[in-house]
Amino acid sequence: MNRKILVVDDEPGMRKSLAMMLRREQYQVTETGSVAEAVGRIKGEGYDLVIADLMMEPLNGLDLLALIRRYRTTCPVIIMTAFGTPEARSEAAALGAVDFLEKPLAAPHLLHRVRELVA
Amino acid sequence: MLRRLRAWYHNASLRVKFALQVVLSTVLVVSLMLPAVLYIQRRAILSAVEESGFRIADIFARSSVQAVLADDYLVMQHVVNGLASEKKVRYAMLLKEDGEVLVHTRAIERGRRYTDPISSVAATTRGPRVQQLVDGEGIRVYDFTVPVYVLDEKRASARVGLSIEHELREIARTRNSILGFGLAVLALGLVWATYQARWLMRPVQALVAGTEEIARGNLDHRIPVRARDEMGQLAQAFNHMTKSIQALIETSREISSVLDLDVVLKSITEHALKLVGADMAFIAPLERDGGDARVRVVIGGRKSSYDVVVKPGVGMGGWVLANGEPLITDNYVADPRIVHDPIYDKTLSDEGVVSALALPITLKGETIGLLWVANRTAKAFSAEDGDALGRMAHQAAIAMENARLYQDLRQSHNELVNAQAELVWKTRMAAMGEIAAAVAHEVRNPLGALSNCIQLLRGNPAITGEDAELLTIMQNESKRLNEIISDFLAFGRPRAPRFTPVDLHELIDETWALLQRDDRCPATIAFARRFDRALTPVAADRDQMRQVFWNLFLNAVRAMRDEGTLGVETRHTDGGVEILVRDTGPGIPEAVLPRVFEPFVTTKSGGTGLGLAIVRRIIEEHGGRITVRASNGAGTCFVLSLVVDTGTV
Repeated sequence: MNRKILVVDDEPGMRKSLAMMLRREQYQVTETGSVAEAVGRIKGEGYDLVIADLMMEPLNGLDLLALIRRYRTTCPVIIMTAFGTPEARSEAAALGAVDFLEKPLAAPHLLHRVRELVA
Repeated sequence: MLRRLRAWYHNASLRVKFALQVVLSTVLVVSLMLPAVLYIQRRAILSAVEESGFRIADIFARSSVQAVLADDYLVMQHVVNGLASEKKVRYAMLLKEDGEVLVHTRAIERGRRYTDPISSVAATTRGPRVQQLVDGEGIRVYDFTVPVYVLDEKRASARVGLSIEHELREIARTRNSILGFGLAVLALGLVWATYQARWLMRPVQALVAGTEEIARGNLDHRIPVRARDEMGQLAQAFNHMTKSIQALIETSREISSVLDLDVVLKSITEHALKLVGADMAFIAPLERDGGDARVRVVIGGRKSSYDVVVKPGVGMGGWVLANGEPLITDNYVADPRIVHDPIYDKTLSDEGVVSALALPITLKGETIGLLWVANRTAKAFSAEDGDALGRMAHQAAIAMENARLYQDLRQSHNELVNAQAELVWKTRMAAMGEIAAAVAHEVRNPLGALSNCIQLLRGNPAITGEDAELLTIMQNESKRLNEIISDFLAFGRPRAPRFTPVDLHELIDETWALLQRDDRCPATIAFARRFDRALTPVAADRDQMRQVFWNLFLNAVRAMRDEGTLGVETRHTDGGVEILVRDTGPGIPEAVLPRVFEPFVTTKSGGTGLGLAIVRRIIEEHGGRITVRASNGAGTCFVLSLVVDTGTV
């Protein structure tokens, strides 16, 4: 049973390398650079985990969290960011993010968290 | 000529003028006295001659009456011959009305008729008459004529000539004696006047010399006071004035060159003491909020300082503050003007004060302080002392005000400079924060991707040997890149500390453990810790404190290069805790030492210079302090002081 993970980041390098890392751990990974597309996929397909960047255009990671909440979907979301202010961290937590990770991501820590969340 | 003489006199020295006056006075006296004396003497001598002349002529006239009546020539001749035997008688004769000689001591003259004016007057006179003439032998003669009456009818004139040569010589001799005496007096007077002038002028010259000395700037010069006369008083007044000026100048020179209020006050008090020769003095400037004056400097006291506040109306100083006038007392304890206060009285009796002088220091009519001098003996202060101190107090007021203004100015200047520096700093930090955030975001995304890729590649068992080593280098370098970004973020975008109770010992051990796993920390570095077990947890931001220890430890380890000891000591202090972080490295150069906590100051190549700046800011935000002690070759020691605020733990 392969767990489905959605990676949302408008930075292709980051998105692709992260997706590759997760696929090597036998997860079924979908990539997207757009929050709107991500929301559509989450509604339509359902994912075991969403890993989303915070700073994206035009909609960002927090918007994604808000939209997931609006559609009454339950899905754990990890927010990652290149520069996390404490305000953003607490806002993300308030919107239901399960974790808040700073880039660059330490692979062992990330994979450990992922395993915990999708188990 | 007269003008030149006047000009000469005008410019002549006082000595010359005095001598000249004395000489002129003597000449005047002598020249007035001489003719009077001569006249009186001449009159006395000549009137004696006249008296005897008239007596002889009268006797001659009476003796001749019978003979003239009888026209007896022989009797007449006999009488005349009798007269001629008198020593002084130059001649004797009887003249008829028409000038015919009836008889003459020289018989040959008989029958001649005299028509010369003197003889005519003698022949025709109706009463006694004296005339002066010079006879044929050049002898000066008084000619006495007495008419000879027979029964109211004039019949002849009896005429006798008496030599006055002897008398005139007597008169001349007297005149010469008097003149000689006058000249002698004049000469003596001149000598005396010169001497006296010199004697009189000596103090004046001393005064002149003194003035010149003072004009040259030698204010230490004093004029010797020899007598109690006007000159002595003048010299005394002059000395007093010089002393006063000296004190004034010294005070003003000393205090106006200084802008430090404390130094100014001390200087004023010292000069006040010296100026009036008092045993003790104090100065009490008015407090800024007005009303009371606080004693700031005491000179000559048995205690070096007094914490005394002078309130208007109470005590001697209080009287002066209330009245705005000086107060002199020769008996402090018994003076009815002073409202006594037990504390003041105790202080002054401890000091043994008897007489005192207090005066207000005023500026533009406003009292700004109080100056007080006192003696432990009954030696009272004079009104002159008060005046002298008053003048000094005026100078003092200006200096005090200047110092006060300067103090205010310096304070506001410092505030302004600090505010400006802070503003510049804040602006710079805000700009840096913006840049750091932007850069961090832009750099960390590619860095994150890079890091992911490296980690993926490291999972590939086919990459071995040098390639694997290259991957490790890449991983370490990207980690370092990330740390640089993190430093910038931590410094440019600091966050407020979140206080929780933190066990510092646990945190120190944890940080050291973390550092040991870092490949920048060689295994040869030893860790020596000495913990004060009595230490309780402190209120701190755990993450930020970890950063502090991390930065300090990493700096220490890097400074020591391959070997050395990182020493960490904790200890309890009064109301806080101290953490000492030592290394045994080469130390920080002294030139850099005062600036190590400034951002971008680094002794390493490749450091951002932000590590210690971040440490300082975190410590300061925790209400603590960090200092550094170092000396080249003996390592560096950072001392962190944190306040233990039990309320927040």
